[in-house]
This record gives sequence, C-alpha cells and structure tokens, in this order.
Amino acid sequence: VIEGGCQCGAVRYAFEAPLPPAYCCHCDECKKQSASAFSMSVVIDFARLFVVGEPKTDEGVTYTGKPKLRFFCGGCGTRLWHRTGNSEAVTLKVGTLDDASGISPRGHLWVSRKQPWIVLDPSLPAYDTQPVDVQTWRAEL
Amino acid sequence: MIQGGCRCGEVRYTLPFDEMPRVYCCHCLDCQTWSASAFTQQVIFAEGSLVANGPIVIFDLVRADGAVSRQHVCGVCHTRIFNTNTKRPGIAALRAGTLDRSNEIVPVAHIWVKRKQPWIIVPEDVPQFEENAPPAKFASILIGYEA
Repeated sequence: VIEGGCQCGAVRYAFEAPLPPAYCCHCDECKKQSASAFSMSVVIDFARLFVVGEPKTDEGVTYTGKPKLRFFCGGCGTRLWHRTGNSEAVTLKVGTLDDASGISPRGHLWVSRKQPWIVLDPSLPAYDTQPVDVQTWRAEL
Repeated sequence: MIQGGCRCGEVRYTLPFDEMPRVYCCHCLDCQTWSASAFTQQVIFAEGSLVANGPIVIFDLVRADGAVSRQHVCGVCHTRIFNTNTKRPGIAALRAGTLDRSNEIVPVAHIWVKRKQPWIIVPEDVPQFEENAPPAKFASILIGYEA
C-alpha cells in the first residue's frame, strides 16, 4: 500500500501499489503553483484512491481550454491532485507521497520554460510545450 | 525591483533586488510536500522588504521543536508566497518559483540532499549538504562572498 497526504495531516490517501509512472511539467503556471521549479505528478484512476478527509477544490481551465478541478487541503493549502473534465483519472502530486525516494520521471512537458540547471535524461520524451492530446500521453507513459 | 506573484494573479509582490536573487533548493520531506513536487526553491530576505498586494492568508504549522512555521499563501489559489519562522524573527524565505523570471533560476546551494530524488543531478561546482548547512557557511553562500 502506498500512502500520502497534506502537510497538516487533515487529508490522507492510500492506494494499492504499483505507483504509476511520473512526469514533470516545467510550465510557468506549474512553477507558480508549486512555488518551485516544476510540478511532478502521476496519473491514477480516482477509484483506486482511498481518501480520508475532505479536500477543497478550485476551478480552472487547462492549456487547451478544458475545465479542471484542483483539489487541495483547506487546512494547510497543500495541493493534492487535479482532475480534467469528467475524466476518471486524476494527476496526483508526487510531493504528497510519504515516500517518493525512488521515483524518476518518464517524461517532461514545457521544457522551453525549464530552469537551465536541470539536466534531463536524453532518452526520455521531452516536449517544448505539450502533445496535442496530453491526457493520452500521460496515461501511456 | 524584482516582481512575482501567485498562480492565479490575485497576489502580486515586489522585492528590492536589482538582479535575480540567489536561490537555494531544499529537498527535505516537508519541502517536497509543501511544493507537492520534488523540492522547494527559496530566497532569504528581510521580512519587511516584500511589498505585496492581494489576499494573503496565513497557515501556521507548529513544528516538533515548538517553533511555528508561518506560511503566507494566496487565499484564492493557495500558492505559497513566503514563510517565516518564530525561530528566525525578521527573516523570511520567499518561495522562488513565484518569481516572474523563475525560468532563469540557477540555484547556488542544495540542502537536505540525503532526501533528494535520485534523478535530480546537482552540478559538481554547486555546494550541497546532506542536511542543513552550517549557518555561517550557508550565509556566505547566499550572500555570494565570505563574510
């Protein structure tokens, strides 16, 4: 079982291994939201997640104009996962895993906005922006 | 002046730096959770020198040693702007990914690299520390010269 949660502990989640493949997004929005260099996520069917606590949501739109719900802890503001449209899958934020020590991304989006010191494995797919169908790309990593 | 803001644009701020400030990365587990990513990026500044507009809200977290870590966050999109800590009065740490020029950041130090995700490669000429850096050494790195 893989577990994770927010900073204050008000929201916890768990799911059966294995951990899905991770990817990074280096776009400016992800830098602002993470307040760091990139966002890092795994795509997982929401039905696989056992959630304790009630995350809050805010609404936005994706780069391609689709509606997006962002889930976060109302107690400490930690970002937990995002859902695009009525997709059954969510993008779970890797930093909220209790143990992300062995993780390695399988692809990178928006490397045209990447900080210059971050060295990418040249064998991995990397897009200057993002694939036309990013949802399928993420799911097939 | 250097400018930045949150993801949704409700909070905007300025800092009195002429150039991009010196940024360090912290790879500790708390910073991984706070960023929801792999590490945080931070700039140390004097607390009163940041001028912000917008709905900043506070999240306090009491640490194991009794110190209070105070997160200053956009009340709309919950982007972390900066934090303070009762152990370090007057000193604040900007979350540097909120800078408008954050794509230019090249960190000058990495701390808590024992928790670093293995795929992240710290350049050989950049100081890195297993846990926290010794304070005097860290200060000289962040200032840019030996004090």
